Amino acid sequence: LTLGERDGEATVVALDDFAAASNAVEELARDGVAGTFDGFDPLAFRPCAPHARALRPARRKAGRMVLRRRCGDAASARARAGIPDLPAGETFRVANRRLTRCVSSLLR
Amino acid sequence: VTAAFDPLAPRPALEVWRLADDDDVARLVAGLSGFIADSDIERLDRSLLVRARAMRAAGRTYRALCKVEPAAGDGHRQRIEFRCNARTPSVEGRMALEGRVFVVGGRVVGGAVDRLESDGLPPSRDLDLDVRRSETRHAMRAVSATPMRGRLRARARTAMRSSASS
Repeated sequence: LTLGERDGEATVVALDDFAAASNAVEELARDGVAGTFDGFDPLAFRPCAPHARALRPARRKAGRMVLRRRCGDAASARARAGIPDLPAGETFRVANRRLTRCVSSLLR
Repeated sequence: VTAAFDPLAPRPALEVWRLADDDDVARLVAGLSGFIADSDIERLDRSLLVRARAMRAAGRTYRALCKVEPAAGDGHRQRIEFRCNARTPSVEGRMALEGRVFVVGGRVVGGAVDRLESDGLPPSRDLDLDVRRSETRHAMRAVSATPMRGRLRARARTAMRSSASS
């Protein structure tokens, strides 16, 4: 702002700084559709077990893409396996941890 | 407290949300955002700006002419009202800005925005001005400030993608 006695001038700079947050949210949606994020599944926020233990060495070697691909149908696999619901509150605790990690990765 | 109302007693889920469209994603994200501490939101707010600057994120600049009107102050603090409108519709886009600054000892120490509107988006109202720089030259006050909503930088309401400074 440049302000005189009667007149002045204003310059406003608008910066698109929200792209990183929007991208993170859109990535959640994309991963949900692709089956690589189970937060939107009927049995949300469950680990990929029993595959997870077997895949741990492969994941170390090849990175998370291996785990993502093998967990693609994890929700229906868990449903078929009859994995019971987590105790009340646990889903939100897991969600909170996951979100905290998401936020932390943005903050790094 | 009877057993049914024991806060530590496990209870079934109140609702089960299913992902059907973008609105469900927005609902989930909005719900989860309530679990983020205020201090982390402030860190996120700062981090988004730092990242955007580092990545040279896209920005838009709007300019407008202002009518300035000194108003009655309260004691040692002088109040200056301003009302700004884009001089013409141009490639820079339309912008309107209304508010006031507070002057103490010849320096602008704070201010408020009643309305900030650009490009036909819904106006942002009731913002505070976080003054970064204030100087006076030849009877002209030059102020650099960031519009804030509480402790966070103001972002456009509809798109929620902009942080503004004036």
